[in-house]
This record gives sequence, structure tokens and C-alpha cells, in this order.
Amino acid sequence: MKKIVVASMRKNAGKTSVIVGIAKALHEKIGYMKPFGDRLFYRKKRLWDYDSALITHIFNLEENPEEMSIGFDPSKLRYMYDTESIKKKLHEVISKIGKDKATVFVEGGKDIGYGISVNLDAISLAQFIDGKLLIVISGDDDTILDDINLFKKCLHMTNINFGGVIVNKVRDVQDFKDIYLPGIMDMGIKVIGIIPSREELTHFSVNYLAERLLAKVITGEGGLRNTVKTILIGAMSPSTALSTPGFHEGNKVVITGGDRSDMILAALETDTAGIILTGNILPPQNIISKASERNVPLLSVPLDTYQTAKQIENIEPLLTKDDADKIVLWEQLVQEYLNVTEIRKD
Amino acid sequence: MTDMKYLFEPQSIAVIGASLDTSKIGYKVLENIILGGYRGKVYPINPRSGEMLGHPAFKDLEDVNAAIDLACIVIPARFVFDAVRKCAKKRVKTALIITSGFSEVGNITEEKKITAYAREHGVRILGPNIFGVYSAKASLNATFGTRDVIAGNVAIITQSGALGASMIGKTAVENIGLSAMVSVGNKADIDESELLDYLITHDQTKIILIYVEGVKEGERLIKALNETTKKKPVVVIKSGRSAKGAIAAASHTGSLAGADEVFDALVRQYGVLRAEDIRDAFDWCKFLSNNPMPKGEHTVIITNGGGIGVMTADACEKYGVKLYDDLPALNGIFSGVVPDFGSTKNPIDLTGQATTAEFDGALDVALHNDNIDAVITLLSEVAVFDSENMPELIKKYYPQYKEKGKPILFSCLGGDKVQNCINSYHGSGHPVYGGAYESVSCLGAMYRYYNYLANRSEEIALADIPKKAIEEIVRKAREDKRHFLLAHEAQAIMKAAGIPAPQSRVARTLDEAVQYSGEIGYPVVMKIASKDIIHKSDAGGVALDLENSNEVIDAYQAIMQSCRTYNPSAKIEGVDVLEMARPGTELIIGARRDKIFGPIVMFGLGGIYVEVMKDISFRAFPLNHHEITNMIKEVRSYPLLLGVRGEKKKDIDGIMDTIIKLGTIIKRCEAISDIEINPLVAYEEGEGVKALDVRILLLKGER
Repeated sequence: MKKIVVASMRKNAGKTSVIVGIAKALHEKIGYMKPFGDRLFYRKKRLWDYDSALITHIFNLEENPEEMSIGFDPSKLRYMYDTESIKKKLHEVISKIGKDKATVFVEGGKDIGYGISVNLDAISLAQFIDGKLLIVISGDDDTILDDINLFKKCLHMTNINFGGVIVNKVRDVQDFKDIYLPGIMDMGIKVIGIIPSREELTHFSVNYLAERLLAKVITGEGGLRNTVKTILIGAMSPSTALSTPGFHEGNKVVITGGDRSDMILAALETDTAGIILTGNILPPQNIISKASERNVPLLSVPLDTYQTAKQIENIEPLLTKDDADKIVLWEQLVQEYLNVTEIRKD
Repeated sequence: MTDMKYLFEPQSIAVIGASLDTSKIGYKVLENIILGGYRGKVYPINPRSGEMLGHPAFKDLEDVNAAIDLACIVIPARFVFDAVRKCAKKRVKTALIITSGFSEVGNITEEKKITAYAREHGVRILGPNIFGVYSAKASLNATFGTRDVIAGNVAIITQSGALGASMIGKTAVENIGLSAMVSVGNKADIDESELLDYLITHDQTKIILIYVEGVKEGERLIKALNETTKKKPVVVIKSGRSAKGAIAAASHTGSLAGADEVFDALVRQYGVLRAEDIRDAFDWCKFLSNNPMPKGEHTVIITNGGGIGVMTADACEKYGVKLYDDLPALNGIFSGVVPDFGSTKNPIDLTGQATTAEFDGALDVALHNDNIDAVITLLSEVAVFDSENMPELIKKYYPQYKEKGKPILFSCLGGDKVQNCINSYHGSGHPVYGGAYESVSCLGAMYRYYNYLANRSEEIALADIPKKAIEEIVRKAREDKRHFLLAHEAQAIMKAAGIPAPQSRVARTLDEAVQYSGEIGYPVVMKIASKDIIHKSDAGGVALDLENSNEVIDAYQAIMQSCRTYNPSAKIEGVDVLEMARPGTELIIGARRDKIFGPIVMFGLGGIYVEVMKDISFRAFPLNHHEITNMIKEVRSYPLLLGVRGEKKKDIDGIMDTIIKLGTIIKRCEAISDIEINPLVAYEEGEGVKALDVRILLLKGER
């Protein structure tokens, strides 16, 4: 059983998506765990990580997502484990999850240092389970170089099985190879993949938005799978909005106050994927009926428009179990831009 | 003389803006005063002076060399302030500002300026934006409505000038005699409450009809209504039932307490009869002012038609008129006058063969039987019925019943002769109607008032609450610049007031959460404790039914992570660990300081669907046990409290106790604006109640 620890220097680098792409490309039985969960779901007294549930679903894993994480909050880990007992627990889980599997992916926390105080940071994980460490890096070119330099320094201080760096979401792969790759190679850092950014991977559905915002769906359930490409704030007058070219573009979500019937109607007159009503204020029934007729979801949130926009700004376009196209695209990207053979090596 | 006496019985009147132009309101008002038979002095004020309708006119109010009790101001809005200033100088007691163009069109500043000046100089203001005043006692018709007003015993107070003017006309058509009619308009100074205070002891007034559009000082109005209905019935028509915006409120009580819902509940609480429309209101006024109050609730229907009898029985059910149901007694009373194939069960069916002679017999025995308190007579024009004798029958029995102190109503159904009979009594004050529902609606209104008087209580239900301890908790929240209490603070208030609540402790760490859960005993509930997270469930800050330490550990992580994600800048104090209460009937009890009506309490079926079900009732202060019992019985879910499907009765005493305590807190602790327990779980009788979730909001601004 190969053990691959996938970590990132910063959050939202795309670790889970890269794992999905690699696992698909490997065409072998895989296992997965995320010891220190950070995308928590709690339902009916069950606690699991979003990524664990996603990978369980995509790969039809038999294990329960709840078993794939040891903890979610440092308070629990400090309360229940010391260094030795956490190592023991980690081995217990990995032997159970890895049974009859060719490869087990162990995903690190949101960044390289996340969980270090409770011995569940990515480097500790790689050391404890003797796994191969892959680092996913993304960002602008300077950030990528900074992160690679920082990681090189960490590498000097540790004794780990380093598998290489995967540079993700790169705007121009050839440019990156020409300009930066030689310098990185000179530093002695192995780069096993440079994956280009794809706009379609940044889109998400209205349903995803509703779940992330903990919004109440007032109507238009049939439109929840609409794809969201742009977000507009409907603060202006309807006539101004309707004279703005962007307002007529499809796949947009409009954020406006629940009492802005005029703006809601203006949005319903154009091609709109969904409308977020802020301040927990519901529009009159005739407006709700109109949205229902047009199958445009109305999402009600308690926050004001500014806070809602801020929350949306922070939403990562994570993969979901319904994103079949994105999953296929990730497999293609991995096969085309990543050295899968290098990963296959034990 | 009280201020109001100068309004209703002035010795002298000045009409500022009196005119000879018949198209002007200044002419109409002067004409109505003079030709309406007013016996006091009249001083028309007009810059051209001369003579007006036989009275010398004065250029200026100052030129009148006599005292003036009442000034009617009918000049353009921009000149009104100056006129009021002159009234003050002349020591006029009351100014009727008929002129419009003030707060009703946004000219609030001018209205306030006039009112402040008048108040400072001792002039009372009625209006502005009114159609005037009618007072039978002074034969005064200072309105621009019709002059054909019939003197009588109904007083009308109306906020709408136009409606008031048309109501005057309608009262004449309906032959409803008026003791007084006052239009209050914008209510800048004198309002309904003050007029009611006067009309309570107004001998000529037997019943008061009020038309209200908006209530300004509800608490005062409620108090005045409470005092008035002790002495005489009050009928209210209030428009704006549907004017309720979808306003997001911080408490269910706030969002459920729409102005009209609260108004409706409170007027009923004080025995006020609320009519849907003017027709009902006039019918009720006419009936209540012309008929005696019954001595009991045994009503009998006497009919010659089975179908109409059943329909009337349905109407009785709808309007709360109780039918006398002692069958042996009824048989004893009526067997001698009902044919063998008829029925002595109520309705008393004289059968289709009955003529007025049979009715005569039945009405006579009902009149003389002391167990019968009211009679509804249904006269159907069947083949053998001698419709031509109907008027005689009515003429014979109405005065006898009235004298005996028994209300009697006649519902007549048939062709021309019947219609002629109804028409002949129209406007006479005789209770003769075309439809069964119309007549029973009147008797129902009378019985509502009868029951109110029979059950009213002077008891005031207040609890002994530790005001200082509660205020100390509120003070600390204020120091923290909060307008609401955290869950543990609200629980502390419940404890101080003696309202049972689950045990709870605030855990600041996971270790404490596990420790406290063990001490409280499993299962437990955990809730986030943060002043920055009010909607705990929305933030993922609540975990229920945690049965062991592992579940507590998982829930603690989940709550912390979810709440940090929900509001990254929230200051989290920890988690409240609470005893998990066993299930029971979930209720909602709220108390709030209503902006218009002052402290009110709310009761209803609780839980998360409270705003959908809207199964709630309201009451205002003063509260008493009888009213609290009524408010509990009023909700549709009341049978749940009595126990359904084999369940036992719930602890209604515990519920009443909680309502009184919440009401007392809102009444006495002025810094608190809203308290809401949702759910309050009610257990079986004798096992008490438990306040599971309590939300307390504070008034904004220092107190």
C-alpha cells in the first residue's frame, strides 16, 4: 500500500481536486483520509469532513467518512491525545482504511502548518506514516516562488519522503516552464506537474451557493442546478441595472435586499441564475410567484448585502459530487500535465 | 366645567371663516349651527363683517365683546396658526380646526406648532382635518354634514371626516338617534380616549360607536375603553386589517403582533364589540340602544319553518348565542301551544300550518316564562300564514318583551307582504330583520357584551418578581453595549422569576463542556454562547440530545467550527451546556412593550412553525386570571392542553403562572422590550412547565 500525503503551503490550493484527478488517473483501488478535518459537516450527531464525503462518493469507498478524520478542533485533539497516542490512532485508522487498497491518500489541513500544535500538520503526518509528501502550490508567480523557497527550507529541517511539487492553477504553463521552472530545478526541488487554470473549474451551482450561505430556498428549487458565473449587487435603481450590459449576461446571481421588489423584478426580467435576498426580508407573494414561474431560485439569508457579498467572496468553488464534468476534466488535466508515473513509484 | 363640556355644551360659538358663499364650508357650518337650533350665542367672524344669516358678523375675533367657549376654524391652513393665537388671546376654551392640510398631507411641523401653542395657552384643539361636532344636548350641529340629525342615545366618534359626514346621513335614514357625533381627524390634541372619558357619564348616551383608522396612544385608549365598557357598550369599526408588512422582527412575538391582531385582541379583552363594517355596526347600535340586556343566556327560537330554524340555530352557533336546551322544561313550556306534529325542542317548530295566532300563543308563554331570556321569532310566509297580521304581532309583543327585560327579534322571510312589514318597521327601532344571520348577529353582539359584564373582574394578576436582580442582569448587558441578553442571562432571569428552566452552565473549554455535561446528567443540549451570534441554529451553534462524552466532544467541535465560519469576528464566550428537557407540549409565551398599546402578553402553540400556524392570542394590562384563562382557551390548539388521543391534561396552572410572571416582568422592568419563551414545554397536570429557549431584548436607549 502506497501512502501519499498531499499538502499545500496555503489554503485553497486545490489539494482535494488534485487527489481526485490523480486517483482517477491511477485507475487503482484507493483509500482516503483527512486526519485533521477542516470542512466540517455535523448532522444528526454525526461529524465528517466535506472532502472525505466527496471522495467516498466519487470512488464508492466502503468506509464511513466519519472514520476518515481524527478531529476537527484542536480542543478535542488536545483533550484526547498526546503525540504518542495520536500516532497510534493515525496508524489504526490508516490500516483500516488502507486494507486491500493500492494507494491511500492522506490530505493535510488547509495549509502546511495547520494542526502543528496537535501533531497533525502535513509534515508530521508524512513522518508518522512514512508517506510520500506531495506539495500543491498555487497563486501568482511570485507567491509560487516564495512558497517553493519556504518549503525548501522546511525540507532541510525535516526527514521526509518528498515526492515533489505540483504547481496548480497556472495561467500559462509554457511561460511558467520557460521562465521559472529552470530556477526551481536548480534549487533541487522536484516539480512533478504544472496544471493550468481553467475557468470552468471556478464556477459553481446556485445550490452550492445556498448551502455555503446557509440560505433558505424560498422558491425556484428547479433552478438550483443553474451555474453561477458572475455575482452582481443590486443596489442601484432598476433602470440603471437594466442599462448596465453586465446585468443582461446569463448565469448571474443578484444580491439585493428582500424589500427591493423593483430590483428583484428587474433581475427576473433578465437571464438570472438565482437571487439572494438579504436581511431575512421576504418580498411580496406576487414576486415569489413570479420567481417560481420562471424557476429562478430565491435564497433568503439573514446577513445584510455587504456581509453576504463578503461571504461569497470567501467561498471556494469546491468540487461537489454532482460535478461530473469537472471530475472528468481533472482526470484529463492530471494525465496531461502531471507525471503520474512518478506518483506510481513506491 | 370640564374641557369636554365646552365642546359638547358651549354657551357661545365663533365661526372663524364664516361665509355667505353657499358653496363654502364656512357657510355650511354657520348655517347648520344657526338653523340646527343651537340656543347659545353665535359670532360669525369674517373680514367683511356685516350680517350673516341674521347674526352680526365680526371682522376679527378680538372685536367680539363676550366670552367664547368654542371656535370653529374654517379658513385655509396657512392662516390657522394666527387664528389659534387669537383664540388663545380671547381665552377661547376649545378650537375646532375643520381645515385640512396638516399632518395628513405631511405638514406635521405646522400642526405641531399650532398644538404646542394652544397647549401652552390653555386652548384645547379638536382636529385638524375634521367635519365638526354634533351635540344633541346643546342642539348643536357644528358640522358641514346634513342638518337632518335625529336626536337619540348613540354617540359616534370618527377619525374619518368624510365617513363621519356620510354616517350622519345614514343615521337619519336608519332612524338612529344621535346623542353626539365627534370627528377627531388628525387627533393633534383631543382624541378618542378623552372623548370616551366624557361620554362615560354622558346621560344621553347609551351606546358609543367609534370608527378608528390608526391608534396613536393605544395604552390610554385601552384604559378609556376599559372604563367605558363597564358602564355602556362600545362598538368599534377599525379599518386597516390587512395593513401588515412583512417586517423581519427579532422575536416571534414582534413579528406576530401585527397592529391589527393586537388591536382586535385587546378590544375584545375589554368587552368592545368590533364590527366588520358600518352595516353591522349600525345594526348592533340600533339593537343595543333599543332593547333590554337579557338576564340570562337561555335563547329560544320560535319558527314555522324547519329549514329556517336550523339555519338560525347555525347562526346562533356562529355568533355565540346559546340555545336553551333543557328539553323536558321546553316541552313543559310549549307543549300546550305546539301542535302534536311540531317540535318543542329548540327551535320550537310551530310547523307550516301555524298562523300568527299560534305565534301569539307561543310568544305569550315564552314572555311569561322566567327560564327564557331571549326569543328569536322566525316568520316564514308559507301557504297558510297570514302575513298581513305580522305587523300587529310585532307591535303587540315587542313592547311587552322590552318591558319584561327580554330581548326579542323578528326574522321575516317571504314575499311582498313580508317585505312591506320589514320596511314599515325600518328605522323604527323595532328589531325586525330580513335574514336570520342579520338578527342573530345583533343578539350575538348583545350576548358578547352581556358575558363581558358578567365575567369582568377587577382583580389584577401580578407576580412577585425580584425586580432589582433582573435589572442588575440588564445593567450588565447594557454595559456590554448589548440590546439583548445572552442565553445564560435570560436563564438567570427565569430562575430569579421562578419560571422553571433546564439546568445550564457556560463551558469555556471542551474539558468544561465534558465535565458540566457529566454533572448535569446526560442527555444534554449545547448551544453557542456569543453576543455576536443571535440566530444560533442558523450558525450551526446548537446540538441536541447528546448522550455521552463522545457526542459532547463531537458537538463541541462542530459548534465551534461552524460558528467561527458563520461569523469569524464573533466573540465566543463558550457553549451553554443545558439539561435536555423531556418532551411535552411545545408552547410559546411572549411579552412585549408594544409601541402603541404598551405591555402586552402573547400565548400560543410554539415550536419552529409558530409564524406559519399563527395560533396565538394577545392580552394587555391589567391582566387577571379570567382573561388569562380566556387567552389560553382562545387558541385553536387548546384541546391539546386538555389532552387528546389518551394523553392527560397539561399543567395549565403552570402556563398561567408563566404568563403572569412574563407579563409582570415586562410591566415592571421598563428596560426590557421583549421576552419570549419558545418553546415552553408543558407537562402533565401537576408536573409543571419548562422554559427551554428564552430570548430577551432590551429597549434601545438608556433606561
